Amino acid sequence: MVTYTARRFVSLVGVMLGISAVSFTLTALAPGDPAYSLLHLQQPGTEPSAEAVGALRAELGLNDPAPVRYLRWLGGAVLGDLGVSYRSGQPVAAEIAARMPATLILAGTSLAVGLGVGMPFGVFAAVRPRSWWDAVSRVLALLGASVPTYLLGLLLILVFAARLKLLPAFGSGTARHLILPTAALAAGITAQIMRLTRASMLETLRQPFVRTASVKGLSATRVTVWHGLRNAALPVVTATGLASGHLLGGAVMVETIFSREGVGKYAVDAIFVRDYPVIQGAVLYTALVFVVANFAVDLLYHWIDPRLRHA
Amino acid sequence: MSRPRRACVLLFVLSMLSAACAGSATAQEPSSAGVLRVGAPFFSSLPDPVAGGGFNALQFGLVETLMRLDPDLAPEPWLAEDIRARSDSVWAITLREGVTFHDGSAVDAEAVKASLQRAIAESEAASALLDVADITVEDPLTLVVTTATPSPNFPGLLTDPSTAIVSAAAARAQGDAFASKPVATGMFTVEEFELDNRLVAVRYEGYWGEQPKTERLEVNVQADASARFLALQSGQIDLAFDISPESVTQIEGDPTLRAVAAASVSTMFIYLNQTKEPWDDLRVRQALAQAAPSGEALVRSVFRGQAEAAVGNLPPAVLDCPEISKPYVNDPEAAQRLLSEAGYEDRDGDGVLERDGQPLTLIMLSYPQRPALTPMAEIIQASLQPIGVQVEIQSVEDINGALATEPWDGAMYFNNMAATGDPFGSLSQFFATGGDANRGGYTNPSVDASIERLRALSARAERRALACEIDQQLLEDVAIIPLVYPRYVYGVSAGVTGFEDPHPYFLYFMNSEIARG
Repeated sequence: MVTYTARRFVSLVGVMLGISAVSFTLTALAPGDPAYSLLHLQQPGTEPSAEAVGALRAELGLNDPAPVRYLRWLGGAVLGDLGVSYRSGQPVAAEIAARMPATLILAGTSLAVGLGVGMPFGVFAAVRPRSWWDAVSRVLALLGASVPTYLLGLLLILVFAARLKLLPAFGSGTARHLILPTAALAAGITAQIMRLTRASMLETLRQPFVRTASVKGLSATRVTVWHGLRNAALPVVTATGLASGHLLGGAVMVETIFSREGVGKYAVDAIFVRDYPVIQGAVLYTALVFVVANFAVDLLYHWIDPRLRHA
Repeated sequence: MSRPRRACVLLFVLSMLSAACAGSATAQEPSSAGVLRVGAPFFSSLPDPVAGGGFNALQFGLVETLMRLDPDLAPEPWLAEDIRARSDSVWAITLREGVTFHDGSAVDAEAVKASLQRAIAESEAASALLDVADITVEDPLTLVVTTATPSPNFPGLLTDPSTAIVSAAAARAQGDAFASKPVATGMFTVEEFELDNRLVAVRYEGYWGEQPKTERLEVNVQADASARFLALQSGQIDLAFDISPESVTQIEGDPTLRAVAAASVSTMFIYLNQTKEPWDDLRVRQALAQAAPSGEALVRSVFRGQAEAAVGNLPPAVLDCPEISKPYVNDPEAAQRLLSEAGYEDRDGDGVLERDGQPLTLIMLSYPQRPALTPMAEIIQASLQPIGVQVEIQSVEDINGALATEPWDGAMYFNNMAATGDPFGSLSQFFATGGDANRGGYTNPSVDASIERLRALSARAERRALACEIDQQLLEDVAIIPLVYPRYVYGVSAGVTGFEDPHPYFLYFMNSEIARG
């Protein structure tokens, strides 16, 4: 286990290095000039002069060749200094840290709803395939998976904030502020988990060991949950791991519509003005989140599936 | 009930409970009197005018400039009481008496000098704009500014938000903290600020002008126009910036809301790439101008009335030219004649004109940040098709990057033409040979000469007449194709007073009268 963890850590460093180099190259090649974008942003809708753009480029060190800029950035990043945002003048690492709670909380509630609703619905549909419950859950899953988050978010605000005036339309701070964004974000995940659980459960419940367990006289609940669900959980865990990577990376749409200051909106705002240090920092953060989420999934596999532990 | 079913029902009930446990909601939090809550599309730069350009800071009453633009967009004294030219490059500025910074210190000539010097030293934009050679303090309320070259529009330049007056001493003492909480002269001071997210500002009790009726201003950044409008409908904000024409239609049926439109200070137009065949041919550009849909049709179909059809290249609020007229009005037959004069005909009968075997195709760039542009491009595409011009619309995220690096023939574009309130800036940037925003490569030596003359002209009436003359020539040359002047519409809750007649330029949004009743 220790060697395994160490190996994963080494590969993590490799992944981060590779990703940072690729993202730096792509941002350097992409059209757009941070100096121009920053000045354009400061005077909405008007044109900055060429002199002002040139001077700001020099000030930001953008006239150096890209490899030099990358090495300079890497030198700092290794020591934990991700640089300073062009726009705010604040350290990128601190800005990401300040936005993490909003992202973590929303990711947590959405995953909880996704698993809490999706798995029971999926199990239920699998236990009674082709029943009316199965049909209902299928329609719900189809809706959840196919309505775009943006549209769902606006619809939720329209109904619960603008019409019924029950919940806040935007912002953060209280539990009530979390309900609509969670619903908007959880819909897709719930649908995915629901269908995956159903399919996997159907497969598992047909296995001989399930019949054996029933014949042994175990209660139906024990057979379904302990023998069935535990075996059916592996693909669900994989999907959840990936989904949590996406969620922790920041839900840009939901963060934008509900004005939540999370990591995703931070990264996208930075992309629009070519705030290079922030883009690099956000990419590193997202890469880290995905690697950690995958690692957690692997550990969970070991825990759920004894065969892996003894292999 | 069989056992597996009971288990599943139990699981289901538990999951529903966990989903619902976030709490039963009660009504919207009530807002205390004296608070004005605003939804703005962006607050993307720091409040310190030197670090962030000053636009949003001035817009929300945190900072002020020596001069401001009056409702006719003519410069008028603000923190200055008077400004007089001793020559074309020497300006004597008399300051208003009794103005204090947010820390209580006096705004005297020395403080203003220090503020301008700080802006010039730290902001390239301010330094290039003002072009100052020397600043001298003559007495506690008078300073004399000498510019490096004659600058007849100097009072107009002092309206630029990057030159807003702040306490340079406080900036030195506070360091980085100053960027978010500048010590300036505005009617509000920053209590809380988060870039791209939120500003909370409170009334400055020592304000020199009329005390604002609003005690506390909360600005929430809501980038999505639909979400902003829904937040207004929900009652969570009192005023929403820049709402869409569709929202205006909805407001008309809602007694609790109203729409307040400001006169337009911007133009939506088509750039034509004149560095490239066949758009370098005046006949071809003229044909496009004649086949393009009328501005009135676009106003009706895309803006639902919330815009004006363009005549000149600059909106009347910026440059009022009743004497100019559109030389090329909608006339598809004349357009077809011009194209055949230019050598185009449809030889293969596919409905698209060709010349030397090359079909007449126009790659039109558009971008999503201004939602009206792409629908307009589609209407233009449909109205150019009957005369045999094939338009391919390409939507790009970064329009200015694409215009600089990618091949294009035409581009939909939006620009705010009100900066410094004078047409010179926009005319020289967009239409002078080599201008920063002259992306289509339009060039006409006589226009260049007129723009140079405009730079040195000081009388406002003469400036207007010459600028209008230039504008007419630009229309004759089809430098760009102006389409509409979109209005800037605010969605306002019925309880808000003092906002019946907003300043045409949204830079001057905040005033002491606006309040929630």
